[in-house]
This record gives sequence, structure tokens and C-alpha cells, in this order.
Amino acid sequence: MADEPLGSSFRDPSGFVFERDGILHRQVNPRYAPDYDHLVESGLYRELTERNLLIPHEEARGEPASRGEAHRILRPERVDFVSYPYEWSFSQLQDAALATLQVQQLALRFDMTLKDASAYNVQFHRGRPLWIDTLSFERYREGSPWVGYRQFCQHFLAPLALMAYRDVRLSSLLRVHLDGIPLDLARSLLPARAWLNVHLFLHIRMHAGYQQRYRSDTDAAAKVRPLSKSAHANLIRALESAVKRLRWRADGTEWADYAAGVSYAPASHEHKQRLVSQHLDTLAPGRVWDLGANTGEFSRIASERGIQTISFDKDPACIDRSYRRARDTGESKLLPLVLDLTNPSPALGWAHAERASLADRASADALLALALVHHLAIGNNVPLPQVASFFADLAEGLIVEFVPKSDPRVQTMLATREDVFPDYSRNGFEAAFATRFTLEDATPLVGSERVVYRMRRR
Amino acid sequence: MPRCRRPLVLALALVASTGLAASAATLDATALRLAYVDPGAGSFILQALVAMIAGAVVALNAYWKRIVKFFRPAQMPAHDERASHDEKGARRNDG
Repeated sequence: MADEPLGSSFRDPSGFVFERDGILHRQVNPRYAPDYDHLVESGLYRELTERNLLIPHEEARGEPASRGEAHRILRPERVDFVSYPYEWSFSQLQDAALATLQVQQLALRFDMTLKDASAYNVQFHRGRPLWIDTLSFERYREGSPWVGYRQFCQHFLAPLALMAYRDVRLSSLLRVHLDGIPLDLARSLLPARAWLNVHLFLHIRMHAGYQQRYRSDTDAAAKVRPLSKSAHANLIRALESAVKRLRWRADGTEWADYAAGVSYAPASHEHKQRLVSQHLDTLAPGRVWDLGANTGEFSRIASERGIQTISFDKDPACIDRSYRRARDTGESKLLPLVLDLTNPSPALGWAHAERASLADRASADALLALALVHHLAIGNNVPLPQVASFFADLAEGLIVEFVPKSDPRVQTMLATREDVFPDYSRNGFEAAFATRFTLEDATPLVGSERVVYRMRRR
Repeated sequence: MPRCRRPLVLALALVASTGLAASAATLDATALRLAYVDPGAGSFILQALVAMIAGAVVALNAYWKRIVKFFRPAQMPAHDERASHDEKGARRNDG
């Protein structure tokens, strides 16, 4: 069937997302009708969408159900690129957490509450995090505690605390634990000084203890105390200050000062900027992926032209810096994401279909691969034809820079190892890429031995 | 002085409501079973305690602000603000 539910859309019986004729639809099942109607009629939907906290949708009247009966079929606005929490930097996860709490605060005001608090329900859309699951709202029942509290702590607070107090690379745990980092694991990984932070002591350490204590208690339901609405609001406020208080300084990572470090003459740099601009104008892509983007300097040449641009780098410090700059200056076309190209995000979750791999999620019209190929070919021993193949699978257009062995960067990489790369030369590079691409332009950078190419997939 | 009393009243109301809720009978157990993902029994039970502490902190903060306000010379910030505003205005006139 053409409109099967998406692989990630099976948990909530309230409805599901499916694609029909290339358009995203969301079916609202009859059992969710009272909650959906309250969301719309109470004015909460309007308030949330006006504040850019919820993805807007239109009701597709007359559109047939995908399966069973439907209360409504919705056509949500499509997010430019679906990214996952394990691809976000510290500030991105922090902003996503705060957006979630804002959504819950507003929901309470309209007598509704979030019935889940999964970080996968947040996406970056036009530069800002917003909630994308329209069916996450249910009518608030007086006295009911927050159902999403456990998920919020596991999806947001625990990873943020681990990044801030232990090591920023621990965000990768989110790739293993799709329902957020188990709190007992967070408790055992956090250093003792984390417990001086009263928020972390309560929401992580004590929380983990409570979970353990009541896990096998069949009588636990009777021990749940009702939570008044104002107490509920206090809980959300406490979580908000817990999240806001966490800080991570982007110092000491591998690349944070790369752009500032001596690399090549300013004249070459300016020449490279000019070439990238010209090649972008020639290729005229709608979507650009900048691979190994550092802090996104060249990505911005694309995004400032109005091109939807994703800026990938494996360094969380670079991405954090780039994101904060984009956020603070209101850039809406640029999305920086943490990604190690030598091990890109795989397909994950139930039946390998809940979270799509990078290659399955989307593709670009053009790639920027500047000062990158030597990291893949020499740093990770990937043969050049395979690098070409990987690029060709991702996009049609390619702006790529070749950095020869004589370059100081490559010299450093080869200083302590055997040179097992006889084909790593300008000729070898062109021969390898010519199998998948037409080489349209090759311009040596002024004052450097590097060459910038414009290519198009065959 | 209704303005400075407002946070205190609000805080007291918050704490009172939290306390009242906590002392009331336990919640109808169906709340726990109505969630489509497991909210976690321990996570549910802990919330009353966390909310109560948060309420107390809000109240203490309000008290603290009131004490600070009592000992602080009145209306200083407003004066400063006006001064800097005047200065800006003066500079504009010079320019």
C-alpha cells in the first residue's frame, strides 16, 4: 500500500503519520477526537502555532483515511530536514528542552497536558525548535501528575547533565538509548560534583532511586499522590531552571580553533570564498549539504543566498558555536548538525525503521566538501573511488577541494605513519572522481597548491 | 504596596495548594494506566515531592526578595535608569 504509516509512527493509538503522493499526512483516530477537538477549540493550537512552538497543519477535509476510520486527516507543514537528538549540539538539545517545557506550560493554561516528552517530537524548523507531534496533547485531568516527566528527564535533562558535567561526547548515548538515557546509567556516569546541583540531585539521582524502588511494586499506583495544577506548574518551572542552569563551554575540542589557526594565506581564503560563490551560482541548488563544515563559514555563503543548507561537522564545539550564531542572528536557512562522516547516523529502532539513516532521510542538490577529502582518504584510509561514490549517492552537484600531500595539513597527518596512499595525487583524485562525476571546473587556489573543483554527477 | 506583596501571596498559594494536594487521598489509579507510554511508577510518585520542594523554593525566594527590599534604599534602580536615559538624551543633542 502506498500510504503505509511511517516507521516511527506506531506507538500512539491516537493516530499516525503517513505519506500519500509525496505529501505528509497525519491521521487522527476517532479515539483521540475529544482531545484533538479540545486542542483546536480551546485556542491552544492557535497560541502554539502563533508562537512557533507547534508545527502548523491544515485539515484535509474529504481526504480518505489511510486505514480504519479517521476523525480527521491533517496535512502538517513539512519540516525541511528531520534531524535527531544524537545529531544536536549542547545548545540545540537545551533549546529543544526549553521549547518542550514552554509547550507544556502553555498546554496547562488551556487545560491540556503533553502525554509524552520525547526529544524526537522536536524538530528544528526555520532555525528554531518546535513540537511536531500534534497528537501529543490530552485534556488535563485534575490531580494528574505529568506523564511526560520520566521521558523529559531521560531525553533532555540526563544527556544535558552528562554533556555539561562529564563529557560532551556522551550525547552519543542517545544513539544507543532511543527512549533517552536511563537515569540509573546517568547517575552512575555523573561525577559527585553534579549532586551539588539540587536539580540534578532531585531529577536524576533521586529519580533513579525512585524508579528502582517502585519498579516491581504492583501496588505502586495506589502510592501516587495527586498533583494540583499549580504544583504541576511548579514542577515545570523547576525543570526549566534545571535546564537553563546547565552550561557547556565549547573549549578544548579538536577543531574549535581550526578556522582561527594558521592554515593558508588570506588571499587563498578569499579566492576560495569567491570560487564557492561562483560555483553555487552555476549549480543553483535548492538544498546544500556542507560536509566537514567547521563553524559553517562556507555553509553561510549558501544559506545567505536563500539556499536550504545543512552544515555537518563531527566537532560538537564547532556546531554549537555555529548554531548559537544562527539562532542569535535569526538565520532560518542554516541547520548545523553534529555528524561523523566516517560513521554517519544509521537506521535505528524497531525493524530498523524508527530513525532513518542519513542517506535514507533526504538528499541534497549539491555538496560542499572543502578541506575534507584528505581527512577521509588519509585520516580514515577510504580509497578515493569510494569517497567519490559516497558523494555521488548524496547529491548531484559537488564543490570539492583537493589538498595535495605537499600541504602542511597532510604532511602533519603523514608525519607519524607510513604513506600507503600512492594514488593520493591530483591525477589520482581526478581519475577516481571522473568515474562518477563530470569535472566541470578545476581552479588552483591562489597562493596554495590546493585545487577547487565543480563537478556534476554523471 | 500591592506590587511587592504579589509574589509572596502567589508563593504561599502555590505551597498551600501543593500541600493540600499532597495531603489529600491518593489519586485515582486509572491516571497511571491511561498513559500510552509507561510514565514509570517511581517517576509519578516522585513528582509530588519535587513539586513541593519547588513550591517551597519559590516561597523562600519571594521572602528573601522581600527582606532584601526592606533593607535596600528605596527607588535606586529607577533613579539610575532615569539618569542614564538623560545622559543618552544629552548625547543625542550634542550629536
